[in-house]
Amino acid sequence: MSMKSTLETLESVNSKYGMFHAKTSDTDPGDAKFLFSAKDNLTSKDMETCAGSRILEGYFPAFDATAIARMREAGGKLIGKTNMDEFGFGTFSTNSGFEIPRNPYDLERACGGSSGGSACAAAVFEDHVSLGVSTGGSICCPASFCGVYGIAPTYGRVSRYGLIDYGNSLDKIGVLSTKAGDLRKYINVIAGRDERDPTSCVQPELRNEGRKMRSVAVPKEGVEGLSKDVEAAFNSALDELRRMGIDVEMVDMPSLKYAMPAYYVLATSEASTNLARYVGMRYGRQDGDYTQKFDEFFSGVRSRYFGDEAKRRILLGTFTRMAGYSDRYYSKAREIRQVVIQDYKGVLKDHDAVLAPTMPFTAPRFDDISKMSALDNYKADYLTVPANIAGTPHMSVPCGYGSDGMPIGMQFVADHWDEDVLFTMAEDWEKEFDMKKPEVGA
Amino acid sequence: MKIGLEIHVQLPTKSKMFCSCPTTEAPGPNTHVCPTCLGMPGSRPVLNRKVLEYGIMLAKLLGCRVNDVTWFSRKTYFYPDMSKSVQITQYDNPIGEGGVYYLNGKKPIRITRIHVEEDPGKTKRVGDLSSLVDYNRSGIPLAEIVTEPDISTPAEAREFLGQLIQDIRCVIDIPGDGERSIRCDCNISVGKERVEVKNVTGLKNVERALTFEVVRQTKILKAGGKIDRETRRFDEERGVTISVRKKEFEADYGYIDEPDLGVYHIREMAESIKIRESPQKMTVRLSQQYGIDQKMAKQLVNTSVTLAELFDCSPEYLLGWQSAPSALPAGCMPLPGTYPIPLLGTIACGEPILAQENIEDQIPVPEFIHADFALRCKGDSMIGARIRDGDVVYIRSQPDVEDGEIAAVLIGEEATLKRVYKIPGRLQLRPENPSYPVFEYAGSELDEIRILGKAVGFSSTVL
Amino acid sequence: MDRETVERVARTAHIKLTEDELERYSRDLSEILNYFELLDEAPGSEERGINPVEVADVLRDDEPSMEIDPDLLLRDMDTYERYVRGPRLS
Repeated sequence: MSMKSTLETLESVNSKYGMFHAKTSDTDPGDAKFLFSAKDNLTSKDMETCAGSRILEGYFPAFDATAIARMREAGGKLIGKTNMDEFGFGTFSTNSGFEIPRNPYDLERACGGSSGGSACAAAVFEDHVSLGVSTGGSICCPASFCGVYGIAPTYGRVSRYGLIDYGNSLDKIGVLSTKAGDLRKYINVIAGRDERDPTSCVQPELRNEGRKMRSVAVPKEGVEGLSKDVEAAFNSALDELRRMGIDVEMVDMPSLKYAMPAYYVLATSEASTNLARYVGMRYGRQDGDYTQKFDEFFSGVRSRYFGDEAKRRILLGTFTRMAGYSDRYYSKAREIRQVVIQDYKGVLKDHDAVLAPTMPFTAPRFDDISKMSALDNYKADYLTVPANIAGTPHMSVPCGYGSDGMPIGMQFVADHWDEDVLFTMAEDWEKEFDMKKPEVGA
Repeated sequence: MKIGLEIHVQLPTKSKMFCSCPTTEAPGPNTHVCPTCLGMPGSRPVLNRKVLEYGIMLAKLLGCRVNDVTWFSRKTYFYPDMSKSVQITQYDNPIGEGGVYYLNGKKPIRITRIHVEEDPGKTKRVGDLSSLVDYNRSGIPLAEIVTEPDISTPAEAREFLGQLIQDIRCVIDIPGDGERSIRCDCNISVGKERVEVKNVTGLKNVERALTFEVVRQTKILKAGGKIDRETRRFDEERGVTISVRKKEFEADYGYIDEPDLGVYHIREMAESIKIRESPQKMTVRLSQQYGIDQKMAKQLVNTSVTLAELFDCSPEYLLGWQSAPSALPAGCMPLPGTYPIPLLGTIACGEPILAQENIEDQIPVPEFIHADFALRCKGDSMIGARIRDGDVVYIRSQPDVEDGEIAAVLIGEEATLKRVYKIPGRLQLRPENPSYPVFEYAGSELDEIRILGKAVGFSSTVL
Repeated sequence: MDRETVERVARTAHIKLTEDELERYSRDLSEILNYFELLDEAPGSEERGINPVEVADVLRDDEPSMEIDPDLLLRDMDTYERYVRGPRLS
């Protein structure tokens, strides 16, 4: 499909899948070299940016996020801002203040989250690359549910300038695509030092040596609690890897079970401070009653426009950093992050990557999601959270399909700054893996 | 009675703390603003190097231990002037800790810590109906200095602040109205409970607010009452403190690390930064070193520090107590060089005194003055030429002078400093003080007179 | 987390809760915090990391500049004579 026909069918495709919050109305690609979409928490000059939150309705940023600016400089045309869980708060993109993207393999099922719209766009449009953001697994989870490749590079690899923050010590911008080669190609476009984001200024150069993966470690903790389909697909993927000449070894990573609670404490503590700025002044919704006292005014706006999960995480994060509780929760979580990093470093001394299924189950149906408790939701992230808390680069590649026909992914985690070995793995895997694309129609 | 202060000082950077917006006076509200200081979603802070440098200077001035590593924290609270509802400040590991400041060179006031943080914007009330906010000030760097409760009276608090500001000004260039623009949170306990008076502006108001609190708390205690541990604010117009009413919304700052900035290893920076001697320390040192009393030393320092700043030299150099100016900062013109001439003794500015030519000392003379030797004046006969008792005159050796010039003249064995007038056949030596006589010499008397040289300059102390 | 604590946290966070929400969040957060008791048994670390990779000594020179026209930033703001409008202060 040509760029032009993609643009011409954008409207009708979007009405079927609901991947875009804002989209271009251009039907002429002009001199664009490629089309891309970006998660709606990346600021864009020409499109409203809401990060999935109604409180930001009407926010037209005066500046492009560095990642978007670099994609444009490379010849990319931004076609839309993708739907997501409000501020990234979710595992299924069902916590959006706007439209909920639908899974290209089954419209009754979720795309995963929180970069659900990006995974959906990557799966649906041909030759399409989408920028996603991962805080606790928000790239790999939807990549896995939508059967695409997705990579979250090392923390600090891609400038976060223009990213609407969820958890600043966790957020990473990455890439989703059906083509393995796009991971290397577009991470190379968006990576690199940016003086507007100090955390991007300490990175070593991105290597592109094509370093082969020789051995992977599979943590026992990463193969517990899997659905039958996921377990089967993962086991046959391990066989395939062995056939490719890669050593597979089972290891113990005892710290992984602490990663999930530690992640939620750090992420919500930071999120609750990031979201404090949304008070109905300056940008987004500004329709409060100014004659109210500021405390009342702020509380009113926030209660009106934040969604259910945003409120829950604000409450949780405000609590875990409160005087009297912060030592037990926030400070301890910060320590556990160090323990998890050490655990990874230990294993990665002898292996090129840590490997496990990306998600313990395939994309769930919307009606099943609505029955899940908040804690059930959080627990679903236990496989993706450890690499995110450690800031290590990680990638989900499609590795099979369930009995329900839904895609299954596996996640490789490499050492800090070692994206090269992941890129190469994806490129090699693509040659061996038989990808079943969804049937797409407008 | 115990008083402790938290003092906020604006740092004189050219750009804001976390963004490049200028700090100069803005042409209108919200004209020096950008996404960062407006707290717009997607913006990010980048720290201004100069803020750390100023912070280190102040830490050194206050005798604080400068931490090897420092970082920033987020303090969350809601107010319309705080664009992110988060203030980037320092919580653990601030720039400096554990200092001590000697009030009047004697009384130790312990300094708990010094940290740097960003200023919020400014709010304006519209009647009592709503507010208007100008974020030009948002993100201006502040240093916060926290003292232990070592101050004993409101007057002492004011005195301490006055000395502190003078010292700070000597190290960094805070604005001239520093006394008025300084902002303080004052903690005072007359009995056991501590009361905080927030955001008092200016030295005078600090003393007024504290005095009001002393009276108020003493009254309550005398009546057998109990003082509430609370936060109050100072009403400048009425001169009273008012309890900030019980909050419906609790302030729990919930400090966490600021991950957008990372950490700063400031040890090397701290080692490379040298600060000038503070006026208070100089007062103590001068009084000890030169045996003058503290009051006079203070007077000297007060008058000379500003001048010294103007000329970029040390106050002692101005006072003539030090021969060479200390190293100049880059971009400054050095003062003219000097060369030494011998000080040959004392010359009378009054009754001629016996000339004793022997080298007492070497005197530095600016290069542009051509002199051969110097004499110390005794007496006040040349006061009209601004040459006073104790001044040192520079003399260029020459056998004659022009009519009306000041010369060192030897009369027999005695030397004197006078204006020389040549009238045919006679020589007049005139003082510059009507209470002294004019000497006139003629005939053979003239053989006794020898002009030693012309006075080409003099140096005077302000003593 | 009991209702009282949730109410206090909500006040601090400037979130107004309905009776229903209060009930629901108390239940959810209690369940979550019970699970978080795992943290108590987790090993600690001496290392103090703010970021997962070390971010150190990134500084900007003190040079004023304005890249974005403030008028553009004020474009979508509710303003009065260039002041940003806000609620009553007291």
